[in-house]
Amino acid sequence: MLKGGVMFGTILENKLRKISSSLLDYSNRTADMIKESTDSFVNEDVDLAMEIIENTGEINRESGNIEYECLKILGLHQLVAKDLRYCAAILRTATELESINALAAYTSRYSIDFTQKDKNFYKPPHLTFMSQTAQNMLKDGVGSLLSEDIQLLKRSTKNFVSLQGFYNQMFSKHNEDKSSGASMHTILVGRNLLSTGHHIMGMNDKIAYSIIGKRVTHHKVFYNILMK
Amino acid sequence: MKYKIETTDLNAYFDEAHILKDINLKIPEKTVTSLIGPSGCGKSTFIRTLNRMNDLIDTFKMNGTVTLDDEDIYDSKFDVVELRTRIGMVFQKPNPFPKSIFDNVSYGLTVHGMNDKDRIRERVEESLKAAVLWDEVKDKLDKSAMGLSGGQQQRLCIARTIAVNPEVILMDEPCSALDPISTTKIEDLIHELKKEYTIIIVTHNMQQATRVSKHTAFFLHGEIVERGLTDKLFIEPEDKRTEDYITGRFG
Repeated sequence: MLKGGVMFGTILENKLRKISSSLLDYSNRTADMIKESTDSFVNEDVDLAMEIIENTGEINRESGNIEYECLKILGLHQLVAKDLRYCAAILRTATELESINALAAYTSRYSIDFTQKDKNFYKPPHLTFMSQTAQNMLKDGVGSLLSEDIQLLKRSTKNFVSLQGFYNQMFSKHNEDKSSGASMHTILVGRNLLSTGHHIMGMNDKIAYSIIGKRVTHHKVFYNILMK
Repeated sequence: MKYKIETTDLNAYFDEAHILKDINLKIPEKTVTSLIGPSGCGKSTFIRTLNRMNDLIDTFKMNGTVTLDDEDIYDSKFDVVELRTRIGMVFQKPNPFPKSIFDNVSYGLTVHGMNDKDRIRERVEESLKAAVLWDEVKDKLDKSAMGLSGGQQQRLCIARTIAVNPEVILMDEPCSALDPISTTKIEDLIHELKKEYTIIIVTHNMQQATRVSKHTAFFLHGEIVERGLTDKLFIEPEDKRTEDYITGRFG
C-alpha cells in the first residue's frame, strides 16, 4: 500500500506540476496583456492595440486547456483536501485570467477608438501606476498559489487598496476639472484596470482557501483575515 | 443529536501490544460513520470491540467503557447474545452459509427462537427487499447461496444481518472484494439503511467514505487523530497527518 501510495503521489504531483507551469506561463502572458493594453492607450499605439486584440483569443485558449487538464486530474485522481482545493484554485484562476485578458482587449479597443477620435488627450500617470499595481497583484497572487506563500497573497491583497486609491484619485480629479482633468476615455480604461483588480481578488479568495484551508469568499472578510 | 454508541477512554491490548489508545468517540444515531486509517491502525479492532467480538480472543484485554444507549455493554449483567442481536456485523468478504438463500436469512431468526413459519417467511422477504436483493432471488430462494455473485452474496449477508432487526450495523470493508457495480449497489443500500439503522463502516476507500458517511474518524497508531463531518474532514482537514493520509502522501 505504501509503495502504491508513493507511486500515486508521484504521478499526481507530476501532473499538478505540469498544470502549475502552464498556469504560470498563462499568468505571465496575462500580466503582459495588462501592461501592453495600458501602454497602447497611454502611447496611442494603435498597432499594439490591434495586435493585443488579435492575440487575445489565442492566449485565452490556454484557459480551456488548463480547465481540461484540471478536470482530467479531478476525474482520474479523485482529489481531496489540499489537492482538491489547489485544483479548484487553479480552475478559478484560469477563469479570472481569461476575464482579465478580455478586459485588456477592451482597453485596446478604447485605444483604437479614442486615438482615432481625439489624438493627444490628457492621460494621467495614474493609469500607468494602476497597470503596474494590477500586474504586481497578479504576479503575487499566482506566485502565492504556486509556492503556497501567504505573504505574497497578503501583498497581492494589500495592493488592491492602492489600486482603488489610484482610481479614486483619478476619478475625483476628473470630477473637479472636466476640461483639463482625465477624460471619460481615461476613466473607462481606469475602470477596466480596477475590474482587473476585482478579478484578481476573486482569484485570491480561492488561493487563500487553497493555502489556509478556510473558506473566504467575501472581500472584506478575506481582507480582515489576511491583514490580521 | 442522539448518540447510539459512546466509547470513553477505551484502551485495547492484544498481549502486550497496545492497539487502541484512549478512544473517545460518539456515534450518532441513524447516520453512517466511517472509520478510516492505514492498515494496522486499530479500526477493525475498534468495531469488533463494539459488539464484543474480541472477547473470543484469549489475549485480548481492554479498559474504558463502551455504551449502547447509555448501557455499558461490558457490564457483567449485559447479555452478549442480546448485544449481537442489537449490533449486527457485515464482513470484508461475503460469508454466506453453505445453505439455501432462504435458510441464510432465516438462520438468525430460528436461532433467536422464532418458530412461526409464516412469520419467518414474511421476515425473510422483508429483509431481502430491504437489502435490495428480493427481485433477483425471489424465484430461487431454495437454491444455494454459494451460486450468487459476490455482490449478491454481500447483500445476502446484509439481509441476514437485518433479519434479526438490529439497531446498529457494523461493516468492515464491505465492498473491498466487490466490483464497482456491486459496490454502487451496496453504497445505495447503505444510503437507504441509514434511515433505520446506525451504521459504522470501516473503509480504505476514501471516496467511499465521502459518498456514504456523514461523519468520519481518522485512526492512526491506535489513536483518533481527527473526527468530524465527512465533508469538512475531506476538504478542510485540520491535522496535517489527516491531510497526508487522505491525499495519499502518508508514510
